[in-house]
Amino acid sequence: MKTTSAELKLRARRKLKGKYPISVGAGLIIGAVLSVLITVFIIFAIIFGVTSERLFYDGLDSGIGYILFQIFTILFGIIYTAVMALLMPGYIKMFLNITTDQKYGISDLVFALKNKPLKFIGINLLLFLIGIIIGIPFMVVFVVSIITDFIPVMLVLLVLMYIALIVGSIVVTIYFSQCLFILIESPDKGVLQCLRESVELMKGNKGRFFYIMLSFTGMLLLGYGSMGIGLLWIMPYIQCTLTEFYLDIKTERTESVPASQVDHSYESMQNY
Amino acid sequence: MDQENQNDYNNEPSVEQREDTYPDTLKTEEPIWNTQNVSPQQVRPSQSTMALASLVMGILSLVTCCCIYGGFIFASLGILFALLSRTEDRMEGYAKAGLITSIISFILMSLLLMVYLILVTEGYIDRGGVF
Repeated sequence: MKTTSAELKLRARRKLKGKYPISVGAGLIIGAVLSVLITVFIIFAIIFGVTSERLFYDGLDSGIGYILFQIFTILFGIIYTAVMALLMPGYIKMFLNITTDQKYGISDLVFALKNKPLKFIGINLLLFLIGIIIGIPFMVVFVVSIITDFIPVMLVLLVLMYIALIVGSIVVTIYFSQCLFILIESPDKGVLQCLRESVELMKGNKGRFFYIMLSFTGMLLLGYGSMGIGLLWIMPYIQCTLTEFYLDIKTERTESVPASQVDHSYESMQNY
Repeated sequence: MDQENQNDYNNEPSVEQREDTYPDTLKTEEPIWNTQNVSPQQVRPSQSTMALASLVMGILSLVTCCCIYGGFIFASLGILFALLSRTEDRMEGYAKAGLITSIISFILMSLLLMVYLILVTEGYIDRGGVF
């Protein structure tokens, strides 16, 4: 009998009772760090634009200044994703501690920095590359439609490819949803092994996971209605529910292992 | 003889005999204790902080529902806190009140919005230029 999403959410609410101040504090700290990064980027961009006017003289998109600015934006994007890749495992680790009744605290946020930060950046990079590979058909169709000036056939293909891209990304997200949990629980595992184990764990649970993700729509609407302030409370709730889901499918998997350890081969029977 | 009485666990009548003598004294004692001490003071189970927060948000949303953005934020937060405080099957009293006040605030704000839209477009109807 599989636990329903309502039961998982009830467990998450019970675990989070009285622990909201620290969860909201962790969310605010992460938000503050990312906001500081973005502010630094904006200040650099303004200073760059104001002080080096001469680089932008050569027309619309061909000046050196624009190329430099594009490189600068891409570099900033890489730094931002790296910082996110290092902070999110800490956030997840804190809620894993809360859900498994271990000692938790704000110091959990630096978990990824203390235990093999390169692995966490690596898994993020791998997921990003998988996303790019999934997006290649859509990009190809998009470029061809620009070249052919959006003839109706290409428009239809574009829409179909876009739907395929959305479906593909959702499927890949569902398959690899548990890889961060697996890596956080045992940081010694290889990145590819974590992805393989995530696929293994999700066998038979993908529909349940998709339903759980859809069931948060109402909560997220409330978060939008409160202009994002409510998200500080909603993200811990969602994270705790997903942690409960991970622990649930892990116990299902370990319960079914002892049966497979019995050796039914003919050769082993001959020993008796 | 003492040993027989002490090890006589299977012999229940001795216990039952004691029970016959106790209830009379208890019955005479209980009603006095009941009417004097328990009924005026009903011990209420303490409500969680989230339920209280939901009530506060609901009241603030009712107060600020005239300015739609303020009311929207507080009403959404009120409903959110009421839903998050539900750790048992039944919602706590404060959380229920917060939920109901937030929903009333939403209804009032949508009515206000409709009245505002009607007032804005009312002047344009006979001109026929906008639509």
